[in-house]
Amino acid sequence: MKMTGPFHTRCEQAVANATLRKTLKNAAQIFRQSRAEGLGTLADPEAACDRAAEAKRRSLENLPAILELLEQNVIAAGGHVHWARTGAEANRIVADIARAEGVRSVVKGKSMITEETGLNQLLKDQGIEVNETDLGEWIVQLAGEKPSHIVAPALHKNRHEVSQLFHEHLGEPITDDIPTLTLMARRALREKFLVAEMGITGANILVAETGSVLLIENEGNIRMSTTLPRVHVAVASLEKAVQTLEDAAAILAVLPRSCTGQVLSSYTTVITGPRRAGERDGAQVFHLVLLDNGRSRILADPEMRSILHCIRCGACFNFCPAYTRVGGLAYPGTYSGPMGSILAPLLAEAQGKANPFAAFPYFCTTCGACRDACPVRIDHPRLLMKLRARHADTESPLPALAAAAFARLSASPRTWKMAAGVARTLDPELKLACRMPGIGKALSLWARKRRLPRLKQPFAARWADRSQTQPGGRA
Amino acid sequence: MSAREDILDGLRQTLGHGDCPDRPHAKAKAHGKDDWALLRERAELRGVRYIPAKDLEAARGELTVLLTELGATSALVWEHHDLDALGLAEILAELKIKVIPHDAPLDQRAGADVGITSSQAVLPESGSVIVSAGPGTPRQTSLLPPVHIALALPGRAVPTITDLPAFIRSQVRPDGFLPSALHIITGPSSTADIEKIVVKGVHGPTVCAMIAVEG
Repeated sequence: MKMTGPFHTRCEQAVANATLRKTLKNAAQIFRQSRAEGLGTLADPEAACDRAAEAKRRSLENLPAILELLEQNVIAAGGHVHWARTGAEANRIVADIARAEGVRSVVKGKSMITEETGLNQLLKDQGIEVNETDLGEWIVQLAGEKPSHIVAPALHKNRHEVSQLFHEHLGEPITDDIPTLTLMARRALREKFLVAEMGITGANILVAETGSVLLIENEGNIRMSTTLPRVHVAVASLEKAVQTLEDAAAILAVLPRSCTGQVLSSYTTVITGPRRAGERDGAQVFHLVLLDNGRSRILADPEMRSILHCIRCGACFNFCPAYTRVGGLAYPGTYSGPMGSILAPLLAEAQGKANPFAAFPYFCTTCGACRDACPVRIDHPRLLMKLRARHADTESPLPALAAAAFARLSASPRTWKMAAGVARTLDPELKLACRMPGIGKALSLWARKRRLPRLKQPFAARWADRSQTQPGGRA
Repeated sequence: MSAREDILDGLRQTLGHGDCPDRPHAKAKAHGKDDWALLRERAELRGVRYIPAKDLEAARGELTVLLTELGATSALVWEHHDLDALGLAEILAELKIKVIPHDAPLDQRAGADVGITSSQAVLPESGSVIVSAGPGTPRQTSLLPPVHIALALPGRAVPTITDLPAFIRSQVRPDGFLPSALHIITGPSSTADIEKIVVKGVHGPTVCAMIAVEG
């Protein structure tokens, strides 16, 4: 399933695909149900979410000191710490480690951060074999696609599409049995684990107090990637760091519950440095790459800082009426869904790049379901509306004078009613307005996917008629 | 300027240096009160075979039955005093199950039928066992074989996730550092990456059994 072109074109492609819509709807329902059950196992879910949000807030506020403590403790535990300003710097650091260690084959745990930096391509260009090992991530790697959901990368694919892919790439027979498909992946990837010299993972939480990396997974591929290869490289963005084990526990208490509904995922692993004296296995070399890539600029923006609370549970995706109708492939770039609609444009802007994601915030219906689902209290709609306002300030399709006039009109109900009354008399179909320079362009943009309002009858009157003829409609 | 200085200076301009005080930890105990009922409920919910035993003698019997039922012929096992007390070596010898040494070639270790460990803790809230890497307790034992059997002993409960910090600190080695890895294991390896259908047994064990010496 390839989607191309700008955001709105991809959305059209996505909603036209009935199979995709069905797959997405099914997945969202299961995710939502599981989450409700998971949070239901907490005596006081609201208090647990407050504690997690507070841990993230405090960590961000004290980040410089926490990062220094983290660095000190990772090094003391025998690990190496690298700092990267940009994704390209991070990729170079990992590639240099691979070269210095004579690595030919890499196994990877699912990590959004290396998706963000595009690490795989650079390693491949160096002649290194890179295998994603999370089942969903491996499926999208084989398909040459990108993950469509931060928790379930192959959410957009059904069993038939996966079987076709395994048939083409592994020569496996066609089947519609999901356990059989999973077994095929186990066999193929086991071989890769046994020979890889380097494992690359992300990090769910970095604990400064102990210099530890906390990793959460269900499949065991991350345990394999950190246990069997000689070298383990963890790549993490700055905001993953917290000071204490208590902070980490506060996040852990809500992360899997909000994500898959599990109290804990199958494997919660605390990695501290490389294999210690006397230990029998585990990576002998450990590197931690700390990546900024625009985060420090977002931290410096008080209105937007809270997006860095995000612990990547994916709950906001599963509740978003817009995301669940198009899926992640409709969004160009790495991040999608509500958190991605905030993070992607902010990162692009902070990196000083052209911002191809500026349209994301307009996708929001402002229903607030994402905010209600967020276990670390991010108010996505508020941030998205702010991003829209900023975008409109700099790139409004309305000429400045017209924008100022419109702002004044809409500032008071009285002037608005008066203007609407005038328009109703002179130009009820807005035909004249559409021909006016500047305003016409703005109206046609607005009307690209909507019908222009007809002003013959005031909205209040039309609404009253509608409610009478369609009882039971949503208030 | 180095990337490190660049990043930290940038952050300090926004946030100041930040505060990271070395707060004394509450003197919490590593382990709390056993809650076998909750442990069982939550573990079984996750597909763990929970096998209660009243004492080590009974646990020995349960393990023998389980290994016979599984038809295991080879095993990766921890070298650990808990398993010595259980008499694991004798059970394995009696059932003619070959123990694959920790330094055997990787393909041999990866081909073992079962992995047998004890556990440094159990976590009733989630139905988990917690294993810590150490000289006789490799990380692979609970990962490579298709079956993982863990012994759970009384007095080792970490009641809730919130109680984890005290337990984790208790695992600090004589050299002052945590083990390289500490795993909280909750049921078999699993995935729901295709159509959200849960499948047990992806890269790690397909079967997880917990022999709980409830005392």
